Amino acid sequence: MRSWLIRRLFLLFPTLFGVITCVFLMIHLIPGDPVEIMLGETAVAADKELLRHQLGLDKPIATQYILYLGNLLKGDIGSSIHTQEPVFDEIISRWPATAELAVAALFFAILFSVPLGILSAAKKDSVVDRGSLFLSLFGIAMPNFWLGPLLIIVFSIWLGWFPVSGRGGFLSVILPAITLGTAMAAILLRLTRSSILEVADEDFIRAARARGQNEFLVYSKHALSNALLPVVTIVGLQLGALLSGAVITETIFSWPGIGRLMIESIEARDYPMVQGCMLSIATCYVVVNFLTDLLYASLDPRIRLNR
Amino acid sequence: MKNINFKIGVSIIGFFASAALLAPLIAPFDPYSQELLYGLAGSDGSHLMGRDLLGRDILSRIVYGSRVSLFVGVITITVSAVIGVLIGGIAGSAGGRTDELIMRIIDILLAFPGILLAISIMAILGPGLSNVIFALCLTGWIGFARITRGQILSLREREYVVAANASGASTGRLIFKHYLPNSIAPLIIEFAFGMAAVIVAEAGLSFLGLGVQPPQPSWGAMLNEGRPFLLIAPHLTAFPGLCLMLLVLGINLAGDGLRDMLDPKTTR
Repeated sequence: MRSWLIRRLFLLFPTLFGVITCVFLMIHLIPGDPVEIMLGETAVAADKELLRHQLGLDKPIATQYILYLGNLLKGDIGSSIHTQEPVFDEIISRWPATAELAVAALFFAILFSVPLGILSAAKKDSVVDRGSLFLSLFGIAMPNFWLGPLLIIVFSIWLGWFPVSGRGGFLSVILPAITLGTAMAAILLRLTRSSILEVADEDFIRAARARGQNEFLVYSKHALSNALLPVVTIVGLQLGALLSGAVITETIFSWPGIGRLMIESIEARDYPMVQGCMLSIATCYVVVNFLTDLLYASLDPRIRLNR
Repeated sequence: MKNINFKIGVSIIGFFASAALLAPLIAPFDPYSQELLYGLAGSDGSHLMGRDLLGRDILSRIVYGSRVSLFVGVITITVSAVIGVLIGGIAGSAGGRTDELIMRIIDILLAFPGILLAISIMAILGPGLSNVIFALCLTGWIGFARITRGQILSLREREYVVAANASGASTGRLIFKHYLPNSIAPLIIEFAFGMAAVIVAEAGLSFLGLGVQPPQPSWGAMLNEGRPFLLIAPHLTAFPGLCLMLLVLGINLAGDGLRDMLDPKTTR
């Protein structure tokens, strides 16, 4: 396990290094003069020069890159060109909201899909099974930027059960979590069902039935624990989709997370902030994927032996 | 059941493709024609889906919007497929350091989840249809490359490939004569699901104001325009979203059907 872990860690660093390089190059790919784009054409020359100097754009690109890496090691990823506040501080202040939303969405997705997936497999080809497959088809096809407004119309405006937007208290997270978690729930529902069906005819399931265990226990204990592996993998992989989906969901619900910050920064052409958001989301995603791999390997020893 | 899924999916795609192709003939009004006096008006006898803030006919804008969605979907996924198959083919058949380098580049691109990289590219390049296609192609090829590489790695040890190799077949001949024809099924499935993902991504970018720009009709941009009027004019949001969902549903159903037909091992 240790050598597998070292090898996996060894692969993690080049990826992170590549991500940092891509993010660094971002500002240099802007067609035209990035300073003029950030400040606007009407900005005075002195302001442009000041910003160019602040961003280090007046130095050769290799020097800029070395300085960028050096500052990154010190936790300095620049300052916002509008508020002059450190990007790092702003990003750190926004992550709790995104984490809260992602965890709530994940919670919703698992809570909705796993029991329904088990039920669907247990009652294969029944009305429940067909209904849940129908639901999952719509869940996958429904874009979150349409589902969000629909939920707002029905549950916030017509019924008045939840706040329309913003973050504050348990009720405010429910609609954003459903919006963000629906696609994941739909995928997990299908996966749980098919994973359970794959093990449903195995000897250990028949043995459990032969011992007189009730159907609930057979499915929830024996079948589910053996069907869990692909479900865990997809949960890990889908966390990336949750992070990118959060950009749109946070915009719809004015949720003050990292995604909303990124879109606000794009609108304000605050490129140091956009770079910081990208870097933090990508790093988080890479680390989460690494942890998923670890969990996967600890659940199934064959994985670390095969690599 | 399998064939029913495929038939329903293809019918839905056919419906929207016909609307896109015949837009000038079937759209009841000019999608750009404004009548400010009737802004946000609901449906009536002549404007079946009502009007937007500027009094433009929503049905006509949806019909023309289908052109954007399908155009972006088809072009992006076709370009991505060509690039991905080539790169995956090179990685799989060359092996060694070339393969390692390509896989590391893929790892780096995959570190940006979902449409995050596309959002960033659009932030840099600015909005517009061609930039949307470029941004989505940048990550769209990865799935095709991984499938092609994986297939080549599994086919490389087969006897007929070993025989072709031993008889001096070139890398190009191996790729186009042996590897690709045997990898076509998973690539077709990736093409279908990839197209659905691209259409949603284009609409998402337009929804965020980073994609197709007004006044050009796009379903994502229409959803964004309707957002401030959810309370007083929900039809602005309801119809473009419904069409987007139906088209994606149709492509997914067709993809599911294709997978069942081309890959009998798949369990549902």
